Amino acid sequence: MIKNGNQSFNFEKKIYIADTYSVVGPKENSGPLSSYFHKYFSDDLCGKTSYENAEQFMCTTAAEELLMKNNTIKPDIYIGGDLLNQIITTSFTARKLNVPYWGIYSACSSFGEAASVASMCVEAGMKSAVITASSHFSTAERQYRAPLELGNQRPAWAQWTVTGAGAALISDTDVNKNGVMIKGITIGKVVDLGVTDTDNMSAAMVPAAADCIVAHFEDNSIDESYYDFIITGDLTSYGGELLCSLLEQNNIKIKSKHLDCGALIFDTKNQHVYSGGSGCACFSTVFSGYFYQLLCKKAIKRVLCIPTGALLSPTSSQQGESIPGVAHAFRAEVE
Amino acid sequence: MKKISNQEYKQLYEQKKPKEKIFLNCVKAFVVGGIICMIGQGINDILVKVMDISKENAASYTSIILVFIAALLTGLGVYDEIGKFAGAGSIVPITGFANSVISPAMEFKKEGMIFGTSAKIFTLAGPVIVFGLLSTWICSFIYYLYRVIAL
Repeated sequence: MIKNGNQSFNFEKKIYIADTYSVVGPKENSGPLSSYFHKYFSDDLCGKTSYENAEQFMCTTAAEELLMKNNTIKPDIYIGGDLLNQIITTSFTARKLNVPYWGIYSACSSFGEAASVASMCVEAGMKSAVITASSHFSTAERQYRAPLELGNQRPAWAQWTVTGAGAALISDTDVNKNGVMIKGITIGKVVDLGVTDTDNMSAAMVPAAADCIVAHFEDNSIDESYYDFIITGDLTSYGGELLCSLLEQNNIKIKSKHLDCGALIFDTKNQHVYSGGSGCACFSTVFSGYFYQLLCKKAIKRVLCIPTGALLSPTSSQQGESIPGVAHAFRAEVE
Repeated sequence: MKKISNQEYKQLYEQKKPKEKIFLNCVKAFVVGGIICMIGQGINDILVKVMDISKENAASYTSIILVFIAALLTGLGVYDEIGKFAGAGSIVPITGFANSVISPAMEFKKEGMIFGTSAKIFTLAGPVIVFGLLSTWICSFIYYLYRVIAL
């Protein structure tokens, strides 16, 4: 692993994203990307007794189906994260998988952190790692917001937590000959510009994403022209605009190359999702469903992926703390 | 990244933030809130004029009936849809209070009767009850002072 600049690392070995798997709920499956997801459930309870169980079932399904598809690989480690207290979804998935396990947490940027840690593991000598990131609208609502049946209104800039789970297999061998690699990572700093409105997660996360992008370009001495697309996690189109104007102050113009998973996964005009999608599963399902397929087909060749996370808890925000944001970038490239 | 102050950043995101349709929301709230109150008045009139119940008792029965209807609609998953449309229009009337009691009771049923439903049932309505009682005390104290001084 070669350190570039202050916070970026590039890999010497070829580290492949050998395969991916995405599972979504009914609302995501009626969105614009429905044809790209591997599996969907028409019932967001998945026939279970609680939404927490349903989220675990989705996460377990994603990981197990991925491992079943690639049964020649026996992963050395399982790394994952989710939004729930004590990351129960991921840990309870690990209970089923029988693979050594590391749980991580960086809110909605968990997939980025998991991918970074997994590729460092492979670089260090492991053969392969399986990663997941999951979230569920109904489990997130009860933990962070209000009961589902409460008749309240949320503002236009609020977001809708994506129900689903995305999994990826990071490996030193390209078993499916897809050729998709993780070339490098940029570890994000926690940035907090004093946003306290818990409905305005986009504004809370944008500075962290901007900081990570600026650092990535400076560290690697490249600019936006190197990439086909720059993909953020769950900023929505409002956050996307904000990101572009913040970056313009740093002389980086990404407007024509920027895509956001939170804006892509739902039809924001007709699906009643406020400004767009959010949650760990927002980036993980869109990347493992949509973008991975585009990379495999070589329709796109170089993307910078920056899942973004808001590191708040209901306790911290009720005590008046502002919302710290974080973003972790990885370079997914195909030769 | 170039330094940007919290104040400058706030200006930037407030300017980009999607706009709320405040006037339209007010109209929706006014219409739905008005309809709920009309239904209440209708029930009250039927109780007084048709069923010959005293005005004081009819007021209590009206509240009970409205709370029952709202609780039922919450259980059927309809009230939150009304709330999404109407906002304060369906939260402010007594039906909104019923919704704020029933919805956590349903939500936390999975944690059991004791630590779930019964412990969490007043998480949202609790503040309403606390401030309701507090304002009653203050009002009754003022009323008491008025009686002492005036008479």
